[in-house]
Amino acid sequence: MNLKKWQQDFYQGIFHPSQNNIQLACQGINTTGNLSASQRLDIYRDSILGGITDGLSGVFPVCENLVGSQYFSHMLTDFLKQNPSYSPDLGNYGALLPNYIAQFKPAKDLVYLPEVAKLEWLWHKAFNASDVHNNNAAIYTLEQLASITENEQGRIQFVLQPSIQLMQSDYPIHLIWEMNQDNYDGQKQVDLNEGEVNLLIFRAPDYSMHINPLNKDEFIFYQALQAGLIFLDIAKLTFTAPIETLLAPAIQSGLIIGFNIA
Amino acid sequence: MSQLKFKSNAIYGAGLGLRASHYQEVLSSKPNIPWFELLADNYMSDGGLPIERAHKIRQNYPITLHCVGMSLGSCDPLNINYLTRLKALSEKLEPAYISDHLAWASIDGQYTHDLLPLPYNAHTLDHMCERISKVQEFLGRTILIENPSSYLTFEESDMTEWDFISQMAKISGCELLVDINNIYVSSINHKFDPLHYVASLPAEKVKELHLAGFTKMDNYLLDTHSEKVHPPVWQLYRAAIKQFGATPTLIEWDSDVPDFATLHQEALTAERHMWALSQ
Amino acid sequence: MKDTKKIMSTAIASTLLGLTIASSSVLAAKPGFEKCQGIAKAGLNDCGTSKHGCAGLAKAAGDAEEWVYVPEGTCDKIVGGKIKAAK
Repeated sequence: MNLKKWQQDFYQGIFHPSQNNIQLACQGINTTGNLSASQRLDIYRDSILGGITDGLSGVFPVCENLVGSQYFSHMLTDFLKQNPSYSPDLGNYGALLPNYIAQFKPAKDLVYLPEVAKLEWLWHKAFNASDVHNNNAAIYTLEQLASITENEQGRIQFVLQPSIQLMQSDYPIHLIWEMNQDNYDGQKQVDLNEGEVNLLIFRAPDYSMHINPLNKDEFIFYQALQAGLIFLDIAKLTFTAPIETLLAPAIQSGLIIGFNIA
Repeated sequence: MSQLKFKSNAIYGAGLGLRASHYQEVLSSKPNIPWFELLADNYMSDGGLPIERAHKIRQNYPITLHCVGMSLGSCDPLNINYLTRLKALSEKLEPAYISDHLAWASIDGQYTHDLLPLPYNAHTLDHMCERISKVQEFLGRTILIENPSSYLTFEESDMTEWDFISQMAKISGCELLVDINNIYVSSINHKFDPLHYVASLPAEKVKELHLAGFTKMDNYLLDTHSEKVHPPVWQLYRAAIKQFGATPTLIEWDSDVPDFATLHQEALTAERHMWALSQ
Repeated sequence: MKDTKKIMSTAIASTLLGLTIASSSVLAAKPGFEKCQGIAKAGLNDCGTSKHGCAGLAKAAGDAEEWVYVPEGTCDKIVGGKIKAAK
């Protein structure tokens, strides 16, 4: 028995359990006792698929809540087959689930489900993002803004706090998310016709998590910052309100943590 | 790390595996627990609340770092990114011990997030020892290796698990984390004498013990960490303490996690056995 | 044609003016909501803490019957928007 070959066969026997793959994985496994080799493989398959499913439940609790845990775990079985986990940290697994749900035929009427999944993934990313003090991307502190000459102002590149995530949805998914939180006592229904929403997801320095709806101006502004646009290019964008009404709050709230000169 | 309030990293007595549902209680009421085990893999993100809490826990308690991601038995190359993050975490938290398992978890870079069995023979022994040595060199310290629970054995195994582990410790210089519940679970699943297993281990290498509850299935025992420690496991634990002396012991409870008080009671039970038998 | 230079200098000047005021979190004060969520967010890798699970998925392997895909959760609290086609 070649150990590497057997480990590959075992992996296939777990994730792609065709008759042939199960047979290969069972080669060299003792059949003594009251369990067959394939029953022993089943124990590991349960444990592995169950473990990863538990992990995804932890990242996508609202999606699980929306469809129920039986639906959720069955929906995942093909996802787990098609999308191997490439990190030892289970917390890095699941980025592709929103796209998978969008293509998942039985869920095609649940039009908001892939978008809720995306919101949960971004929430998870923000939860685990780098702390501000670890971030050296911002060369200048905001106090130094005063010493930037007018000629240099166009080359200012503001640096966003590392946890910031942005997303747009055709549906009020922040309300769906909120409705599925523990201790929620708000309205009993969410109406999809409330329409589209722009969301800012971030973790504050006190580690509290925030999902804030943004107006169109704010969303364009943060998108531009996230794309690394210099201030000159941001100033050329079309906003309905003066830019200082966007810039000042972003700085005061700590969402902009510093700046570079490009 | 000089800013640690709790400078000593030595552990003694019965500690607890720290679970997310208990963080707040532990940090606010500072229960009289001698040490906590942190699952290293949960603190490897770039930043955020879990890491902050790990530091806070460490300011008040000695800790150990337990890993599930080294995949030591795998035929893949070692994951240097993982080991680099582990090393950084270990330098910040100064754990008493770093441990992982006699198992594999990944192949061709694809992770199962589980602890999978290995055939016990000379080839696997060479393979494990070489990789343990590399990890120890990388981390600059000795690691503990834990015996897994298992549900299958291999035709190609020509050594017992206890002989394999004893030789592995001798050759690689690693030390041992002996999971008493895993020995019991495997002894039922594979029909061997758990007392003989314990008696065959090199006592001077055993630095830590694990205890947990299994679930009885139709034809086998499943190592679920979802219940209290079962009576035959306590019995085996008493034999282990007699042989190894008062070894730091950890209560693991991972599914259907009870309230903190229940968990604390399990630790106190372990300590009662420990102090009664190790005089 | 917008005078971008003026826009920028005005924006920076009024922002700097704002910085001298005791900074309050404008965004936190907005409507919208915040949660101290994550306080009890489970360590995901606990799932692999040398324990084994029994989720009963071994046989499921994705070939579930149709009835499995009837949502049994809070989906029924979401109304409207039915006319929109799936994306």
